[in-house]
Amino acid sequence: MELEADRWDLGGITLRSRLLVGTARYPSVQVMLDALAASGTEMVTVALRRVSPGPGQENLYRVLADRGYRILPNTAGCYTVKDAVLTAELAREALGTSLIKLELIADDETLLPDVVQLLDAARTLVRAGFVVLPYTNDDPVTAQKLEDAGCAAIMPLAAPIGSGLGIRNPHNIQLIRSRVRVPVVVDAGVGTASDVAIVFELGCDAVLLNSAIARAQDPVRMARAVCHAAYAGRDAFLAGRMPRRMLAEPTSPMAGRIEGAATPPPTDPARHS
Amino acid sequence: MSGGAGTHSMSGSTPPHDAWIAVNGEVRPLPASATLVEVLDALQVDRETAVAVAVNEHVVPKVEWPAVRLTSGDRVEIVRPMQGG
Repeated sequence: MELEADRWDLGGITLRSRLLVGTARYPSVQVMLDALAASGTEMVTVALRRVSPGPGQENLYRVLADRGYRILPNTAGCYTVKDAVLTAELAREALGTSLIKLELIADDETLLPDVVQLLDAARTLVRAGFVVLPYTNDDPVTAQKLEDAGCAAIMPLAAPIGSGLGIRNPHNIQLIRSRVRVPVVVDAGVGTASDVAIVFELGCDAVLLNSAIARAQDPVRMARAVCHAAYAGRDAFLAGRMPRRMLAEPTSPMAGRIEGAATPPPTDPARHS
Repeated sequence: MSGGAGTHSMSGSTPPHDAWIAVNGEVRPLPASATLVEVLDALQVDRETAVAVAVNEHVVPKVEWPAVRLTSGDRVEIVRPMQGG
């Protein structure tokens, strides 16, 4: 399949880029915009926060929408089902989208998902007509339960949010991919381009990343690198990698070698007399 | 808030005014004329683009803002998209 024609579908939206990119922690709005452009992403994430009263408020929505990005709101910072559901409802009202990246965080230090509350909130939001994209642990059992709850994708973490540690449990990510039918979008913990390539080589459908780009020394260059890595990893997956072997297998043919190379090195009879 | 969800008093703090509302966690005197639109305008909030309001933890759709009148003790949350991952 030509990569140009390699589309995927997220909650009824057909996308060409397999990167979703966050909008936080860039050195400036201009660097963010340049990095988003370099990444080739079509969908970016935002948080919902209280406005500060007064004139001169930033309007991130306008900046992103004017450039044609689809906007995926999250429920970052929510610790209870009630807060997550209300945040999702506010996001739908503010942005006119039913898409919600559902985050329900257990504690400040790890920012790991609270999967018990996550399932509860996911069921509530699916009933309320949302297209629910849950940020979850790299746990195949929870992933299946979230799919059964009606979630439109599964977003397992590679490693804790903002850690940049890469894929801590590739086997679990692969298990999740093999056991659910909805798209698998690896979210959080990706640190650099090679991590992105590995996610795709594992068969995942997409990657969501933010800090890996925003906190790089040169965010725009890293955005370009992860774009290339996404293509490389996806292409490698579609190509089907060679089987692994425990021992070497010669690449060049063994037949037709010159005489000297075909026989073991001669031993000096004098040394063994 | 009249015409919508019921009001709840804010627990734990003593409001400094007889009639008050809390906007994004900050207690303010209840304006004499207090529809949601008037409160948003008084705070110079751009009402046109990507903003959402909840009163007492219930989302109030934009079309209802001109009609919804706040009452003492209402807790108003005004949010919009900000940078996030």
